Amino acid sequence: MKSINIIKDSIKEINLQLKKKDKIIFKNEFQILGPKSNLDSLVIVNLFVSIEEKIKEVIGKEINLLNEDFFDKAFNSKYTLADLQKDLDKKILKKK
Amino acid sequence: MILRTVSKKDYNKVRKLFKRNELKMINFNRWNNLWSKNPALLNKKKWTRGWVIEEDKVIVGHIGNFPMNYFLNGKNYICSILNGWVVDKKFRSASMILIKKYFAQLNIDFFLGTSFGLKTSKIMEALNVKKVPVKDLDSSLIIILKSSSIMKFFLGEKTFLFKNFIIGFFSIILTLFFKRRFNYWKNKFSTQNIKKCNIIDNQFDLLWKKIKLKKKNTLLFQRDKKWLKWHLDPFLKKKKVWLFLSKENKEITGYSICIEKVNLRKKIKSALIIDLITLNDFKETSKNLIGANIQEAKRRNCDIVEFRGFDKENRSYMKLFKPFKKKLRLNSFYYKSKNKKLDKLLSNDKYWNPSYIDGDAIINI
Repeated sequence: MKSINIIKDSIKEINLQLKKKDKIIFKNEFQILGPKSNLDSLVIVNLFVSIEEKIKEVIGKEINLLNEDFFDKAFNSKYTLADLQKDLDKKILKKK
Repeated sequence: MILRTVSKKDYNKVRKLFKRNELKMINFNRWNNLWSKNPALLNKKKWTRGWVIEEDKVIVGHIGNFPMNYFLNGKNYICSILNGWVVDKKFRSASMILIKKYFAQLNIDFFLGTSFGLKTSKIMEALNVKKVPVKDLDSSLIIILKSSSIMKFFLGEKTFLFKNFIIGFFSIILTLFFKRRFNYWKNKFSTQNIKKCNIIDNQFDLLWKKIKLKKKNTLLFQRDKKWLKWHLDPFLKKKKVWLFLSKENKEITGYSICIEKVNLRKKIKSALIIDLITLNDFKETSKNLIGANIQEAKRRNCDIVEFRGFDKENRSYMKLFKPFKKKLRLNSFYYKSKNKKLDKLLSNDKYWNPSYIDGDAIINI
């Protein structure tokens, strides 16, 4: 399973809990963190936890996205779904 | 956006942030004293008051951080207390940056937060921050002093037609049904050895030495004169706290601390028993101290007496008064320790006796 599919599945799962105006739009430039992001911290946490669970199912190993430095490097800049995909690719490949 | 540490000058901006998010903030002196009078920092030890996120000179996010000293098995542990994690809605995605900054601190034995809500508690769990493993932290034991307070307790925040009439009517019904239980606490204790204590003086230093030895297997906030004064001074000044000592042959056998809290929304005046320590004849001493607190709460015209947290033993003493049990929305006490040995100990409920004296549970009252 590619990381893009993992992200897609997780977004679908999270969107089920969100109101229409708050839903995550699956497109590369969608900002998870950054000036245009209106995601609530709990939504971000839930998205990351869902991705972690799916990665565990696929590669059988635990990763902790919340302990990574995504938040720090995105501060004052932006962190998009495309960035997340790139980071996951690095991680999944690294773990494999 | 700028991420930086909190300074003394930030008070007004942080207060505005709290106000925008419908939260109350303590006055400047109380806020500043969390650090300036903190016994752990009197030796000019460096400490970060917290972090803020600033956008165009407006503080849009804040997380506060102050130390408290704890003891377990004769060892001293520095605890970082999380206080006031607030972020404006528009910037909520950045709130994770604040919490990560907070947990990234070094030289802390454990982190403790006692005021998490439904949402923030979920975030804590995702960050592997653990719930304080005391089963009954999600409920309160309550002694009802006025029957109308039950209805206010459950319906206080709701508005509906004929509210006052309905509250009044059901209060009468409840009084008829529960009269014996409401009055059960009376005459179940003796105040013969109980002395009211209006100041926190040197006897608390001697007492703390004894407590540290007797209760060494329990994680305890340092309850000596300087720490108790730091924690309770704002309440002492307003006469919103009372302390009872149990004395036998001039020797202190136990003590309790109770504070007054007014819930303006529910219009309920509560007496919170925040500390109960006994050194011998545990059952009798605890019973007499709790009874004296209920009596004092009644004298102060409180609606209810609340007892939250504590270990099984202390709760069993409170249960001697046949209190009502109120289920709370959640256990709002969470901790994290990077010290593996301490973390292992803290995962066992037998080392805990948590109450409102811990963390920031009474800071915002």
